[in-house]
Amino acid sequence: MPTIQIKGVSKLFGRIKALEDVNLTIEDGEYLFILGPSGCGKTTLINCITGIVIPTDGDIVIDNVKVNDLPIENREFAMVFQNIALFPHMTVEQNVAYGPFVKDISKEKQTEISNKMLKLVDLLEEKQLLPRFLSGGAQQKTAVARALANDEKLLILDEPISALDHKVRVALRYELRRLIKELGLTAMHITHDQEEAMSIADRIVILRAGKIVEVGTPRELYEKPKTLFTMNFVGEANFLEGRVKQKLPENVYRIEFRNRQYIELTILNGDFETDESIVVAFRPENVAISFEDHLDAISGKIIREQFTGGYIRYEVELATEDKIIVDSRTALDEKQKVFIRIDPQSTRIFTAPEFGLKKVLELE
Amino acid sequence: MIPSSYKEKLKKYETRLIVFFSNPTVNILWYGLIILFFLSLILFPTIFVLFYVIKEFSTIQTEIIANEVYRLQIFEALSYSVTVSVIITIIDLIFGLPIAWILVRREFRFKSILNSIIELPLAVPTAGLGFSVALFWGVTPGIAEKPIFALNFIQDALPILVLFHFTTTFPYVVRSLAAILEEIDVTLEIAAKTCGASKFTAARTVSLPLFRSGVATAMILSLAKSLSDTGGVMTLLATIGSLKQTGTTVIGEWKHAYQDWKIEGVPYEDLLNNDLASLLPPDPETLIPSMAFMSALMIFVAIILVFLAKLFAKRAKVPFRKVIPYFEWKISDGAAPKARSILSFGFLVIFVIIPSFFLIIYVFQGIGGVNILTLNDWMIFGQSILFSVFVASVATIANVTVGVPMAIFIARKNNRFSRIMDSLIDIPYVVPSSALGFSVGLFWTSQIFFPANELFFVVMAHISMTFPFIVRNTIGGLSELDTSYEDAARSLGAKPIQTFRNVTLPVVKFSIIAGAIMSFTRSIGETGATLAVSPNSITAPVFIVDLIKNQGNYFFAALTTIILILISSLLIFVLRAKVTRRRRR
Repeated sequence: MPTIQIKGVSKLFGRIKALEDVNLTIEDGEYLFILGPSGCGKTTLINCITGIVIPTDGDIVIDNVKVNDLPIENREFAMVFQNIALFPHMTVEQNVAYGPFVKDISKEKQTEISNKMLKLVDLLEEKQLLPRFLSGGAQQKTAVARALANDEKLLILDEPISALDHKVRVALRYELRRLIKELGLTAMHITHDQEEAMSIADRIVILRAGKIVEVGTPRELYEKPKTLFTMNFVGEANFLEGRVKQKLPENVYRIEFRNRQYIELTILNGDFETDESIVVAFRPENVAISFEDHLDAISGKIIREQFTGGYIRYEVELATEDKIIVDSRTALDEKQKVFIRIDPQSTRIFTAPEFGLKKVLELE
Repeated sequence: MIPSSYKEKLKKYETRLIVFFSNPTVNILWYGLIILFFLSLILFPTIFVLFYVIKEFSTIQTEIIANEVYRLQIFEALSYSVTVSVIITIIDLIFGLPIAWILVRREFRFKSILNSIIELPLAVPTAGLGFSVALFWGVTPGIAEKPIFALNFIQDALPILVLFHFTTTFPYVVRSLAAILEEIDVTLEIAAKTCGASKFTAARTVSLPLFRSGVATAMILSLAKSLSDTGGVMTLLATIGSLKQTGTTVIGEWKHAYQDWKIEGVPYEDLLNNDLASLLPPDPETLIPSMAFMSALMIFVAIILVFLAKLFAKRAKVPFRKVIPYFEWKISDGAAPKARSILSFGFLVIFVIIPSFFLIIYVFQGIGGVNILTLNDWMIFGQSILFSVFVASVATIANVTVGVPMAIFIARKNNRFSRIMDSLIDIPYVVPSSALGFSVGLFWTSQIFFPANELFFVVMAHISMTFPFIVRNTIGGLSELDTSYEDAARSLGAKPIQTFRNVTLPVVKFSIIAGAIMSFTRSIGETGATLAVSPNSITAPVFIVDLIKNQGNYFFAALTTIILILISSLLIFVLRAKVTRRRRR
């Protein structure tokens, strides 16, 4: 059963650091996502594991065996590619049976395996077709079947569904999870689509500029992110920069924002000093709208509304001149004056970053 | 300093010119003119001889086909050409595929060296190459002092012809195979490897079957080139003292004899008394129909072979249905691939590089021989080089002028007409050069509108012969440039001609230059077509052939070759340096 350990892996391309001291353990049977913006090094990380790229530094250990120099064909994993990479001159069936075929397994067994895999992805009827006659989704399902037919316990998915249409993508992602769990595989899945990662991952690794930012379950990353970057990258968030004016008993702090706006807020995630610069971060749905002033409220006015179906998204300009987004079911008028109350339970307070908030939130 | 009023005037003319060329009628006329030029001045003269043969078939029937001895001569030469080119095509494919694969897919220390040396022989004109190959491999009765390392063991014409054509065609074949292999997505091979295929299995079952078009292109390349070569075969066979003839050299000999008899007034009986007696027809008037007949046969054979090559590439079953994992893993791993890389490297050096440049050693050893050369020798030498450069430059410039619009027409105007043009373009390339030269000469002499000027004929023959290089290269460049850039420019209000100048040209410029290099080097090294048009036009390769065949002055021939190499490689390096520098930016 595969456990994969990535120990202090770095990769340099010339002077560019694609990966910097990455440490990660992937447990047996886990569905792990590597999530990050384009160019963050996720493909390089996968390439190090598959053997397409040899790390400059550090070790890749699979089942306690160091595999750094092992070429691709000698490593034990199956892979699904972003550009699908079905062999264009073979039928769906031949594609799926390719793994057994190159191992010179008997013809009957090959057919048996490919039938079983095609049944799993529900493509038995199309098995005589060439890949180019299939839809994008069906092509990628074929590619998944081809990977599964190798009977490997580790499956690597390199942005497998990013190139497909939205609806197909959503349908396919649950199917992928079902297959992986049904077959008891360990899977590593790369994506830049945080929604995809949030909806099906066991655990997510957030990668940025070649470094791991944070690792956690989707819920942890959404509700209790440890970094500002994660808070911003996963889901949506509002950020207010302020300063601790006064420490009151029972974790209540008096905080000053721009334009001399004050609120009193209970801080549950940490201890801050008076005069310390902080960032108050909260999700759009964790805000209450009120029509009268409270100690924990900031005034503002609605500047735009956007109907999204289940709720209404308001853009609110606060008295601090910050613009935030608020999701609410209450119908409000544009230009209406409101008071925004932040829910202390789901609000994260961070120490203000040294080089400014913008720098920390940048994707690249 | 250009006065500003003048600049303004120029600007005005430019605007007028843009407006003029953007007129739809002018546009259609312009393309019509280009197509007409191609059909009437390039394509038709190339295959004119076929019509001539049909017209004169009764003469050919009675004078050639009815004469058994003479007929046998013709067919022997022809079958020799065919045998050699078929053998060469097979060998090229067998060795070309692995070397191209190594060049594209594998990383190793000598890769960049290998990549650059493989192109070196392209700079050597074949007339000199034939001599060089003969010097390296063959027994050479006419040369007293052989260079050291000369192998000196091949006496027969067939093996040495095969070796020679391997040297001339292999670099082209490898280069074109590598270029096409480069376009096959590497991910497919990686995907195959993740399914548990060894490197060899992945290459064999995934890349090779996708490679059919590449195989066809490479086969046509080696067929066309080996059927075509004249000058090299002449110097090669003369150096080893063989009297064998191939289809193309026979045409050259006949033309020479005809020239001596008709123009110089040498009595035909005298000609019949020398070595070539058995080759010549009893009646000198039969010479022209003979050449026409042979040219037509060569064209016919070339087209059949090309067709067969295409069929083979399309139909051939790649050994696919079975994998022997143990064996295939064995040859993919460990020492085997390393040994293969070293082997192919050595193979290239021994069969391509050393034979190509062997004459340099010869020249260095006999450098004292320079003193024997008279001023008159140097005069002829200088004239021949200048003449070659002149013809090659005129042909290249003419072809760029007509070829680039033609390429745009084929690549961008997607209609039935352009598709027809697309398939016609390559004909001058497939037609053996002697046949092409003869046909072009025949065409122009039969015209009453043009003065019978041999220089003009030679230039026209070279234009016909090199036209496909420019067009193909430019089409290649155009197909890499997404049309959306051009559409974007058009949507911003640029006229087609402005779009071409500001958007298309900066990108395809490099392909055009590459095509021009190929056209120029091909033209400067060409013997067969020149000889078949007019034996009196002493281009540098013709001069080399003459030195070796008729004067036995090997040293001077080798020296001339080296100077020609220097001229072409200087040009190639200057232009290529320019291209790569611009690309890197």
